Amino acid sequence: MKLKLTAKSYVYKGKEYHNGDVIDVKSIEQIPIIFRQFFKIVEDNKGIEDTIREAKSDTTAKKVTTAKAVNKKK
Amino acid sequence: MEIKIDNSTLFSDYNAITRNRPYIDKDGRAKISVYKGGDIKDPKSYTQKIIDNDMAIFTPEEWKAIDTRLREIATSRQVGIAKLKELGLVYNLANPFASHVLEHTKTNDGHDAEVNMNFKVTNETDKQAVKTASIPIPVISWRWSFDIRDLQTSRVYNRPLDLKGATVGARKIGEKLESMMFGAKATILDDKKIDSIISFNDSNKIATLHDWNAPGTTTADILDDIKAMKQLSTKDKHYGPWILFVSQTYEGRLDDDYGVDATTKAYISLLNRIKEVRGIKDVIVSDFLPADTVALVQMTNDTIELINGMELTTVQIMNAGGLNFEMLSFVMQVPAVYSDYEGNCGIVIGTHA
Repeated sequence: MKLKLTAKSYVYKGKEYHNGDVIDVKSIEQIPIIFRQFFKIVEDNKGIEDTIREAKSDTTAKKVTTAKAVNKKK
Repeated sequence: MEIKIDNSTLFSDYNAITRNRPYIDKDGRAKISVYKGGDIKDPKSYTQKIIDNDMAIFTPEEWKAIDTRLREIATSRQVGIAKLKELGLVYNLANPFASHVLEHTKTNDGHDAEVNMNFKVTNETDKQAVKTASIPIPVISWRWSFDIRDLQTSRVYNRPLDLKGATVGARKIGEKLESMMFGAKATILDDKKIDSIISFNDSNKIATLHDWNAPGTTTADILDDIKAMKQLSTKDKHYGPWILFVSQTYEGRLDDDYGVDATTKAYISLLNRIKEVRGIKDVIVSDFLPADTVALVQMTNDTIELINGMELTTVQIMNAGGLNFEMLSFVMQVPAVYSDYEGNCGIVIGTHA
């Protein structure tokens, strides 16, 4: 997930980030609780997964439609 | 018709207080002190006004005992606020009743100082950039009651006043002020915000410290963490002196042996080794800091200070038939954290990820 820093500075994994910088983390758990107030979620992992799932189900639906169409043709 | 307003009567903060601190004078009559001008700490600046006898329950000595006892208790729970007072980092407000906020300015560094052999200075004359900021001045209070039986017991048997309800309140007021300084979150009052050293946007934050309680973390690792924090402060143009505030979860590590003194062969504790880091004047444990958190704070008034409107004071706000008395203890104080125009700040907050 991508987090945008709203505080002035933040040192994480040996790198110093500044206000407005975007940090890529696997989950919010990687940010200590006291510092979570200084981040804004700009891209959520859950959101991406949902998007992928929706895209997959769309494809399945199309396939079903295609099979029905074939049956009708028969 | 011209209306004349006497400033000393209407706008003196001490007037509002003394009016609610009636006392039984030596002549047995109920009185209040009224400020008439001059030095507010000088008793000669006050005149006495006689009031209804059933309004007063305490003698001046008892009021003094209440103030002294409650202030002692409130202070007993404070380490950060107490340190600010000890170091003189206190900004006294002339009249806290007249201001909800304290405005201050943030300035930038400007240009370098000029070096010339005469006064024909023709170089840069840029004006310092300035912006204003404000700090709310809250009232932190505790309401308690006092029964006539407690008062009579104290007087008949010559015992100290029973101030159980008040002492709990004093402790809670002291704790609230301390948590305003060290708490993880800011204190929100309507549309106003009081930042702690942690919630302050401009304080430097480092999430890559070692977990001081982890089995693999050595005292040398801890010392490296502190040096890294110091470096962040100096990078932000704040060069000390600092105090290192440590959360209670790390207190145990401070007593660990750091090494052996080459000359005396005596063990040096980690606590003493940290104090030897140049610029770090003291290490203080605070149980108000969140777990596993350390804070390096430059102890100067451009970084942190206590805004003092009024020290812990008690007033009598209601009299229920002369049998029970509602009291209010309160302070008008706030710890204030500062940064400069560019956001440079002498506070570094560290923890482990």
